[in-house]
Parts: sequence; C-alpha cells; structure tokens
Amino acid sequence: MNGSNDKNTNIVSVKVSALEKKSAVENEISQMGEVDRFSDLELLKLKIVNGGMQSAKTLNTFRELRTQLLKKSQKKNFVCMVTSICHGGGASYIATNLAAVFALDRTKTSMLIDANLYSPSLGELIIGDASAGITDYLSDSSLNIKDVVYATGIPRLRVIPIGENSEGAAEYFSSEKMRQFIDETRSRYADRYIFIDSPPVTESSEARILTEIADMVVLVVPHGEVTQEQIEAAIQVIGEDKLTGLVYNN
Amino acid sequence: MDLALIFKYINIILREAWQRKFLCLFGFSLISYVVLVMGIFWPSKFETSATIFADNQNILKPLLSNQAAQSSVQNQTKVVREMMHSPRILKKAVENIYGLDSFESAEELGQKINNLRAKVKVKGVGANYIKVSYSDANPTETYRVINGVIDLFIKASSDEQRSESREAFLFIDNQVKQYKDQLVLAEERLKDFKAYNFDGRNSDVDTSISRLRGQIEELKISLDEDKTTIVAILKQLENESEYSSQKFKANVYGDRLNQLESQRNSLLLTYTDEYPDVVSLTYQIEDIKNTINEAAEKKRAADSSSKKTINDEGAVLNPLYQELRSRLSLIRTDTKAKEKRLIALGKLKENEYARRKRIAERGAEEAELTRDYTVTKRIYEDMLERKEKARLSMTLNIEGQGVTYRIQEPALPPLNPIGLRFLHFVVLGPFIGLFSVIGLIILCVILDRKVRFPEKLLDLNVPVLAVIPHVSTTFTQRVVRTDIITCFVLSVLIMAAYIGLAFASKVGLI
Repeated sequence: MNGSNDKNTNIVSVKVSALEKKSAVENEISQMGEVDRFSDLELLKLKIVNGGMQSAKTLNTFRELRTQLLKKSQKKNFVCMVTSICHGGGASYIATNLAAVFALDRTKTSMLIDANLYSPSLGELIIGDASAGITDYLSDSSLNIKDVVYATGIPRLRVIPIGENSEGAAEYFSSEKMRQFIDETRSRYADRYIFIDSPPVTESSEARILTEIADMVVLVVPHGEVTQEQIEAAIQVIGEDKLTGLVYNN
Repeated sequence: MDLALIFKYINIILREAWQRKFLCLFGFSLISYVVLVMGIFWPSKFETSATIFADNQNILKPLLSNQAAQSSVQNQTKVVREMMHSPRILKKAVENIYGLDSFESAEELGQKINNLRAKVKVKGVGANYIKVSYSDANPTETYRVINGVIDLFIKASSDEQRSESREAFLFIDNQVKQYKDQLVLAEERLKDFKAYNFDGRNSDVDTSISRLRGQIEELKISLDEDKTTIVAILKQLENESEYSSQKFKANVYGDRLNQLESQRNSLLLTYTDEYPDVVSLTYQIEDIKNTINEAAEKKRAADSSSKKTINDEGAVLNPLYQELRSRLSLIRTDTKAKEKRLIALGKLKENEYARRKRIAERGAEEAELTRDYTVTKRIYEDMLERKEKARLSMTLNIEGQGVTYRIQEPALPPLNPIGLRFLHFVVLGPFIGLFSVIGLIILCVILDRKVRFPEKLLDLNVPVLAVIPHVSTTFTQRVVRTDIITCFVLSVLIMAAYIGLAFASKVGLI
C-alpha cells in the first residue's frame, strides 16, 4: 500500500522537485549557501512528519519510535539500518521519517544514507542538484565526505544519496572505506544519528553487509505483503543481537 | 468473535477490495452477467393443480352403520397416486392429449409416459383432499394434461368401483346359494336320522337300567330270604312229627304235678304231713307221677317201633307240622316265581345294555350330523348377511353413493411461471456478483497466510517498536478520489449495460 503510495509520491515528487529545482536555482542565485526549507504542504506531499502536521497520530508514533530507539542506545548516537522484508515494504518511508523525527529535536541532527540500490528515493529530499552519492564516494578516492552530504528541506537532516556508481555496491559497502566513513560520520557529531535506508534484507546481499556496519536494525513489516515465515527468515538473517525490533507499516 | 475483531476484518476486507478494485469490478460484472445470461436461457415452468375430494362421508353412511361394506379410505393419497401413475391411465392420457399417431415408436411413447409420471405429483393435503399438480414449460399443455389425467382417473375409479362391488355381490350370491344347498342337505340328513332312531335318549336307558338293577337286587335278596326260610322250615319239620306224641300228655301231667307239689309245699309251711289236705295232695301227686311214668313208657315203646300208624292209639295229626308244611309249600311256589322273574329281569337288563350301546353309537352319528348342520347354518346366515351388505354397497356404488372422487377445486390455466423467473435473475445477478466478490475476498484473506494484523508479530519474540498508521496525503487523496469516480462511472456503465441487456432480452430483441 505504502509502496504504491510511495511510487505515487515519487511521481509527485518529481514534479515538485522540478518546481523546487527551479526555485532553488533562483534562490541559489540570490542566496548562495542558504537552503530552503520544505513547506508543510510539501512535507505532507513527501509524507514526512513535521511538528506542524495535523495528523498527530503519525507524528506521535514516530516520536514514540524515536524514544524507543534512544532507550535502546542508552542515549548514545547510533547507526540504524532500516530494512524491509520485500521491495516496496516502506523502509525508505520509515527511514526518512525516523531521520526527520530525530531532526525535529533541536539538539540532534540526523543523517540519512540511501543504500537502497534498487529503488533509491532519497534524492527528492535534496534541494538542488545531487550529483554524487555514497557509491561515488566509496569508489572515487578524490571525493570528500562533504561532497556527498547534502542538505535537505528539513532542518538538521542531511542526506547521502546512492550516487551514480551503484554497480558493485556490495563490495563497496563491505570495504574498509565504508567502515571508516561510517565511523567518521558518527564520531564527528555526538548528537548525529545515522539512518541507512537499506534494500530488503532477505532479497539482497548488500543489506546483510550493511547489517554488520549498523549498530541496530529496524525491520519493517509491510501490511499484507509477507508471511510469518518470511518475517522469521528475515529475523534469522539479521540476527537477534542487531535487530532492535519490528515496525509494522500499515 | 467480538465486535472489534469483526470491524477489523471488515476494514481489512474493504482495504483488500480497494487494492484490487478493478479486478473486483471485473469479477462483479462477470458474475452478474453470467447470472443474467443464465436467466435468459432459464426455461419457464408452469404449474397447475387441482384438488380431488375422496368422498366417503356420504349421507347414507350413518344410516347404514356397518351394514354396507365401505371401501377403505385409510390411504386415499396412495390409492390415487397408484392409480394416476398406473400405465393404463397415463397411456390413455398421453393418447388422448397428443393423439394416437403422434409417437413414432413405442420407446417414444414409453418415454412420454415416464415423463408424465414424473411430472404428475399427487399429495395429500387434508383428511380426504388430494392435490394433483403438474408442471411443464408450456402453460396450455400443462392445463390440458392435468385435466386429461384427472378426468381419466375419476372415470376409471368410478367404473372400477362399480364393477368391483358388482363382482363382489355376485361372488357372495353364488356362495350363498352353495351354502343353502349344503344346509338343506344337512337338514335332511338330520331329519332322517331322527326319524329312524327309536332308542330314545341315553338318560332314559340309564334310568331303566338302574331301575332293573334295583329290582334284580331286591329279588335276589328276597330269594335268599326264601331259601333261608325253607331251610329253617325244613329243619323245623324234621323236629316236628307229623302226629302229636305222648310227650304232650306227659308235659300236661308234669305241669299238674308241679302245680300240686307247689300247693302241697305251701300247705306244708303251715301244716304237717298229716294234715288231710296235705295227705290228699300227696296222693294226687303220687297218682300223677304214676301216670307220667306210664306215658314215658308208652313213648319209648312208640319210639322203638318207628312207624306209627295214623290210627295209632292216642296219635293225632300235629297241627304245627301241618302249618309248617303248608308254609313251606307256599314259599317254594313263591321262590319259583321269583326265580322266573329274575331271569326275565336279567334279560331286560341285557336288552337295555344293548340299547345303550346302540344309542352311544348313533349319538356320534347324530353329533356329526348336528355339527354339520350347525356350521353350515351359521356360515349360511353369515353369508346371507354379507350378501345383503354387498347388495347395499353395489346399490350405493351404482347410485354413486360409495367412495367417490370428485374434483373439489378444478385446475386453472397457469398464467405465471413458477420458480425462478427472468426478473429474479435480473435482480439477483448484481447481488450474487457483489456477494461472490466479497466472499472471494474473505476467502483470500482467510486462506492467505500473509500478516495483516500487527498482533501476529507478538508471537515472534521480537519487540514491536511501532505500528505506523496508514498515511494519506492530499495527492493520494486526490488519486483515491479519481479512482472512486472511475469506479463509479465504470459501475454505472456496467449496470446500464446490464439493465439494457436484460430489457432487450425481455422484449425479445435477443
């Protein structure tokens, strides 16, 4: 359900981002270095929670989720991988919103790494042109971390898109550079929370590699898409020590 | 299942339906159209029925009580069904309705008869009411068939009943005649037997025999007595001599002597021996003693000379002897007579015995004849009564007063078809389509093992961090609205086409 909605959202987002790009170019000209914020309407379109949203239920759910994750990490910053059991399971939606809800707290910043090779979707959050991503950074030693981190329309939320060089991503993700990159990103700010939008754990080797890097894993269970056995299999793959819990996505 | 769970399921079903809305719409229209097409090709069925009344409660019944033998009405429905389904009636009905030559082969005729048997339904609807119904695709034919079959049945049943009761009467009449002849014969025999039987009854003989026995016994006792008397008299006669002897005299003198001696003894009490009276008496005594001795001498002399002559001195005829002789003679005569009588009585007794034997022998014969007569008479009387009943029944049936079947409610030409009609299909089609689709979704939800309830995750022993509610954005809402409109328009089009098709079929365009 959310998968199809996500697609719909994507279509809209393309249109929206086209408009945004247009305005961004204009802004860039007038205000270089400044980043626009998404309006409430735009956030609603992107299905991203925000403090001013009317449906408090969703916001509260994500706040509750944030509290639970913080409790698990004992208030330390962490790298959290969000994965689903199947494609279109809503992992990107949950990851984005988790990052957004962490960023709502003015004392915290969050970073969203798009590792979803098969359906990257985080580009729409970036205002402006996003040329290089995580795969580019991992494959191209000339790139700096700063080159692949982009500001978004949401305050205190940074995004690293998948990039152009997604072939052989599994190898990149398992490389030492990836580990170093994560460590560096995490250690730079004590109040930075990193979220990795991962492909489905049972269907891709990348997700399993990323599980090793992440401190905790949130498994998204989409409504009416998977069986109990599939969930059990996913839990097995992740391993109980890394798996923080399940999120049921209606 | 509590209400919350039901709502949860309803929610899930609606969600699933919405996810597959176009498929559902397609399924709905497919099923609806299939039902409609079924309705178009569904054959109409016309049914008509008539009620037959089995009239056994006629006015004469209470008057006649048990006199007339009524046909049993215990299971009129069964009787009617058997009769209506009989090949005789059905064959006739088929021939009457369709004509004799309308069937090419016997198989075709047989099939038609079987077909008719299956379609003619007989059902009891009350005490004596029987409903006969028939259904067919053609209303006119339905009407014709039911009337034809019922008419035939009623005619056949009344004919049958009449002939039946007539046959019964004739049979009983014949039997009555036979029994009458037998009875006359038995009567004759009994009469003859009685005419030639003089022996009387057994009891008479018994009385007679016992009387004879008594007489014989008495006679025997009497004879015994006589014999004893004869012996006693003879003994007495032996002791008595024919003539009176000297002893008599001696006895007379002895008495005188005793008298004198007692007289002298009494005198001696007062007087001495010298008293003159005593002396006189002594002399007298002496004298008498002498006389006695003389008499004794004479008797001895007489005894020694056995034969005594009648004219013997001092011998006279002994009266006692004479008396005894005469008595003996009388008794002997009497005994003779009694003996003769005894023989006669014995003979009579023998006769009676013979008679009794004859009576016993003839008694068996008589009993047989009487039994024959009684049994024949009883049967004859019974048959006579039955004959009268049969005559009444026959008369009743001829008069149409027996158990008759009449049409209580005649069959009407069927105007509307029964069962499912085209309109039913038209109305039911969309409903069946809708419920089938819903049913299929429910089936899918139940059979599909995919997780649709977050509660299921609790079994996995992994914490459930959150249940993210369904989010609808303005865009998705717009999409949903568009989908709703599309679905609505599609539904309207489908239904319009549906109604159009139904109407076209109804007016005969298709």
